[in-house]
Amino acid sequence: MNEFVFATAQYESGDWDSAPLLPVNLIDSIARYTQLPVSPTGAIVPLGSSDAMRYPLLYLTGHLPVRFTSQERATLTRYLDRGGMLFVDDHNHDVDGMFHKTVTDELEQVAGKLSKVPTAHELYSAFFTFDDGPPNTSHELNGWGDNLIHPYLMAATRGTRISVLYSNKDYSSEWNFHPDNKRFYSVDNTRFGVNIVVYALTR
Amino acid sequence: MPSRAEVRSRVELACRGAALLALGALVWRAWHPPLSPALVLRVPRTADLPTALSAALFSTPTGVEATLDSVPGAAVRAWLFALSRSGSVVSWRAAATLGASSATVEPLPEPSGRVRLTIVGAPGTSASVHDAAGIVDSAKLGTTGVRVLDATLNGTVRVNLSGAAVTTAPRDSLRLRSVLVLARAGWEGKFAVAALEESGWRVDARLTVAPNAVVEQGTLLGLDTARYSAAVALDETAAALAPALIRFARSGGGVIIAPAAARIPALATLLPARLGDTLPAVLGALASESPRRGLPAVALRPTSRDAVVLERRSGAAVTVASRVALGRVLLVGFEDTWRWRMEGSDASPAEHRAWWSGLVSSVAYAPSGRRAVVPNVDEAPYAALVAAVGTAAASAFASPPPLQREWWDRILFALLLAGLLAEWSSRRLRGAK
Amino acid sequence: MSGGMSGRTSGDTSGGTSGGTSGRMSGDMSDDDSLTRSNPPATHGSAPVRERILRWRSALLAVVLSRGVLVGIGAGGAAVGLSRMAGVAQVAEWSFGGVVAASAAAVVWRRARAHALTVERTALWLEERAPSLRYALVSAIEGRTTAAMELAHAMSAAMWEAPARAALWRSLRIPAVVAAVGLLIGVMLPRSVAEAARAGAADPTAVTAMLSSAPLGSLTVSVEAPAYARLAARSNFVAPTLVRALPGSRVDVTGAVSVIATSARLDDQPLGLRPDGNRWRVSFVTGSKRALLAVARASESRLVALEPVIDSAPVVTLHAPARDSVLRAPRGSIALVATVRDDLGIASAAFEYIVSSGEGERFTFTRGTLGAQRSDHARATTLRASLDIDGLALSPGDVVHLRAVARDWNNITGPGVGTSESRAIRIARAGEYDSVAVDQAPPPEADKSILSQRMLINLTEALVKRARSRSRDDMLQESRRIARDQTRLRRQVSDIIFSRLGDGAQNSGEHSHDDGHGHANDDALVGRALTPEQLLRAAERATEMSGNPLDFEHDESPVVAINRPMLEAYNAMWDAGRSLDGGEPQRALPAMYRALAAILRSRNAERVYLRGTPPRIVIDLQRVRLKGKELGAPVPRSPRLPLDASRAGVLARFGNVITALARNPRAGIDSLIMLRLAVVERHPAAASALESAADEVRTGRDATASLLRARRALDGGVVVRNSLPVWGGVP
Repeated sequence: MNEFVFATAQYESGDWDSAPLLPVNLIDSIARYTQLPVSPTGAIVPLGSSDAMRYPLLYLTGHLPVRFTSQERATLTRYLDRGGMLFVDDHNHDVDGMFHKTVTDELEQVAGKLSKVPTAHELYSAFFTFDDGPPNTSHELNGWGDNLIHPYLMAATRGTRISVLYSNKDYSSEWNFHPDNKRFYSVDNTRFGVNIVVYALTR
Repeated sequence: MPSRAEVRSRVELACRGAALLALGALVWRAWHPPLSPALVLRVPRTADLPTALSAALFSTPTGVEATLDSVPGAAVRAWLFALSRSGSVVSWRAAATLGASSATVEPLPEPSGRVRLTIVGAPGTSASVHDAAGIVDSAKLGTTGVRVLDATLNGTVRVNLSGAAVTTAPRDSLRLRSVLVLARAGWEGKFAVAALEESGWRVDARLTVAPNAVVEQGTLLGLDTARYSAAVALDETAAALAPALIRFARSGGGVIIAPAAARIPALATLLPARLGDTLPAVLGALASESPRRGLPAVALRPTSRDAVVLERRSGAAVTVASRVALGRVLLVGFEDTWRWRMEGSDASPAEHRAWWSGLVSSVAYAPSGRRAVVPNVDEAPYAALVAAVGTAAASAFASPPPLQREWWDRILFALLLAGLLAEWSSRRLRGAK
Repeated sequence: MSGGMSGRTSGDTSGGTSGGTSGRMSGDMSDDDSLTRSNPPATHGSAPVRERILRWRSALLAVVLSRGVLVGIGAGGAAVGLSRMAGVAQVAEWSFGGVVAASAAAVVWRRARAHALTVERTALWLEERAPSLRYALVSAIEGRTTAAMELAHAMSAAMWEAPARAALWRSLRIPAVVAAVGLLIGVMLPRSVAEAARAGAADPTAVTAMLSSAPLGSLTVSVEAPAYARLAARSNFVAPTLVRALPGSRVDVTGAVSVIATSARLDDQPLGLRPDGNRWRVSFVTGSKRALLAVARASESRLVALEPVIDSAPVVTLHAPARDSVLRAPRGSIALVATVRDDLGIASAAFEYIVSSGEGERFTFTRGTLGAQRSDHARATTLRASLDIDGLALSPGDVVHLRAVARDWNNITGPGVGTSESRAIRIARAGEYDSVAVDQAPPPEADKSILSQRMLINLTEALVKRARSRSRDDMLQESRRIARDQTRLRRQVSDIIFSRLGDGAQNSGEHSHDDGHGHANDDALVGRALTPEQLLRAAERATEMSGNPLDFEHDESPVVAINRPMLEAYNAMWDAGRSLDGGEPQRALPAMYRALAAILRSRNAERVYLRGTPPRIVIDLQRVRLKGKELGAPVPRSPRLPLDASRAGVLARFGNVITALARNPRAGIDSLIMLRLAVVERHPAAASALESAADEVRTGRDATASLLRARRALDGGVVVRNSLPVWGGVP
């Protein structure tokens, strides 16, 4: 069955599972807003394993420094070359932090230079429309991290397609809650996650 | 008693007389050609034909008997044809090495602009293929005597088969339209569209995300052969367009149907086969030389005699095609083909692209148009030879008669020369001028 | 003279004189003796005649030799001058001149038949120059006694030496002129037409036109790598060629002809040529991209393709520690060993570490280096150091990331930085090894399985803002909803700080006890039931909060408060819950703020966390399917670009290359080089085949196989079948 499985990348060097509820939250959102077949639970896949190829969208986050092993680097390179997409979010939301510095360095080695995603990019209207670009999170100004609003996301591309989407906005904190609690939100803050998944599935 | 000098003088005179007589005879023979000399050109090899025919320019031979070790070129064939039509009897015999041969080029209905070159010759014949860009291929024909190349060829193609030089060039060009892909948003739809686009196809897509949310590419004004060459239905989202798909196929379009779409009841009349049992994927096969064994598949049971089984796995058909009215339908039993691209070997992305492009190419509606400039080609020289001068003679030719006219001419000319030389030498030797 | 001598000698003396002379010579030797004794020899002056003739013979030989030398000099000089003008190398020029000179001299010597110059012939030669002698000299040589007096008289009467002497000098005139002319040609003719033009050409336009039509000649390319590479210069390239060089290399191209009318371009940039003697030279520094140097003169051009060589970054391998590890206690030291290799030379290497401390969103990082060392272009080195764990002042839960880093000397495009694999050294948390659920996962934040206090505050604040626009009933309903969530959170907090004692301990979903709770277990209370009064007193002792109510909700067992900040949070939540239940969100906010502050204090103080695997949640897809309030409106998709858009164009260029090779191999090599440069990135296999083909064509070998390989690679693969396809040729 060609169902979508939300996969979290497990890498060796850091706290890859710092946002354990994000996957199910986004799975819930996908089911709420689309009729796409989706697995009710996510999957965790080691980044250095060839199993990563079975999940053309991978989510990666953490707080600690990220140092890919050579196996992880090779797998990720192959993964991106074949059409996979990696969504990385800095759980520290700190551009001066070690996660940001180390993971951007690793990603640029594997995927090439990270450039700003313009506000008019089709990512922001892949399903819902975000006229102002990436929606802000309630964590960006919580006093921790760099305490900045990060107005744009970064991406590496393969041709015209985003292969790596990088976020400093701490969506990992923003979406890391039980999906049942969505009812308390007047506006569902996980909608942008739906955009990311729909973009990955259609572009 | 005449003196020695006088004798010598008389001998000289005699020599001059003989020379003059010989000259006169030659002039007379030239002025009065024989009424009907039996001139039969006997040519032992193909390479000698042009020379022999040139020699017969001013006197038409009554017959030409040629032993051909290779098929003569178009010009020589035309010459023989002209001779045969002007009254000469042209017969030929094939040497052991002579065999039928032909080559044709037709454009392939795919964006790459490649063509299909089909070479036919005697099994075991060496064939080398050249075009304007140099050598393309060089190999021996197999037991079938056929060699088919799908390649990009420039200009006129020259195929050298043992005993024949064949030239061919594409005469037609094809007009390709877009391909419509109908699927829900998912990996299969994404990577099928990607494979086609990366291969150069223009793709319109309808990727359904939610009941009223469809990711579109291109504007679907109507599914017809004026706009589309082929349509690909991957899953149940094609149900809304099922009647249009059927009309499209019947009017000449090509339709590719995946197992999930084959379950749409409205498409049942279009299917060349019914869905059967599930065939599990063979673990580890995606990276092997038969990567499609690593894909889950559905066995197909052809429903008509016209259905053509294109691929089998473990005896069961997994790809079946057939013609439907003016169009073609191809039912693919593979599921999740995107795994081939992601999980296969290093070559799998290119193979996946080529496979999808090939599927579409095999059913695509692509009307042809004549090229404005058609090069001069010689695609079936053996057949053209037979058409020009008939089939080969079964028996050997009779031994040739002596060339009497030539023999006398030579003798007379030799006599003329000898007489003149003898007189001159004698005069010089005795000191006279 | 030589002709005369030989003619006369052969005509007059060959039959008679030589034979007669030799016969007479042998016989006359004895006769001469007797004659000498009986008759004094004929003399003119004081020297006997024979001796004088012998001297003249020597003189004649010398003259013949001189003629030969002079003619040789003249011929050799002319030969040297002409070959120099033709542009022949100097050695060849002189060799040719020497051969011509020797040959000319030999011819002269041979024609003079000097080897056959006998006394009699000398006498005859003298007689020719002084007819008044009337063969007196010849007779004198023959030694006729009876004529001695008459001969002497005749010889003394005739002035025969002066004319002979004059004749000798005259015979040297023409050879001297030949020598002079030859020398003049050899000295004055320039090496090339260009020099002649410079020496005094009157019309510059004509000179330029003349030079422009001259061929380019050979071009030599030399490459000197940048200083940091410390590589020897290479100069064995002859254009057209492909040169691979490090970025920053200096390339010198020299040509064998004049700089006039020669131009050079590096891609689009014109380069200035400078004269270098009778050659020209152009120099430039290579960049990091491929480039094409084109040297042109009139209609001829020569190409040099420049391809950058990538200076690899150092390869660093971390040998120790061999794997990640967890330390029970932050003590001891860890040996670090790494090896570094580089293609051109290592500049520096060191171990880097990053210490990560913290949890949740509060992490601090410190960085440092160990074992740094510099290297003077060593191609390999071993790095050693020791990581002092004590010195890092680590705490439980801290993580040290280690790796080795090396840099090379590349100061043009680098330096190249190589890194090893990383190792993570983690300090185990307290009690970690007592846990059954050994889990590598770091602790999550305060339990997110329910709304955090912060989220509740946000909801309450939002409710307060909307108070005026909503009805009382709506407000009450919403406020109570928040109250229920506050209660749930409060119970979660209670799970952390309270232990459930007594019979029938409730194990509800909100009361999951895992190991590692910050319970300061009171051994006295564990394992036996307590009266309510005993529990209350224990709680008061623990919290020092007398008089504050403790929670006994419904059927809950008595609890023991062990953590004051958390208790404060608990109590504040209790207050907030009451206000929210009463429909007074505004009044609840201060208590909610207090609760949040208390939770934060507690987290900082005690690193309280819940351990274990995150709860596995399975979404009920059917329940939520399409229940979202908002509808999506996706924009159209934009198409991908074809991968092989340029393939047709490249194949067409390949066809042009084949045509060029057939017409002009040199132009074809240039085209091959240019095509190779254009396709090397997208079609490396084709580029390799094209390079092989260019080499083969340049060296006169058959390039068919290489061209076919290139063709196949550019074509993207020819599909071959041995039978007609059944259905359109599905792959």
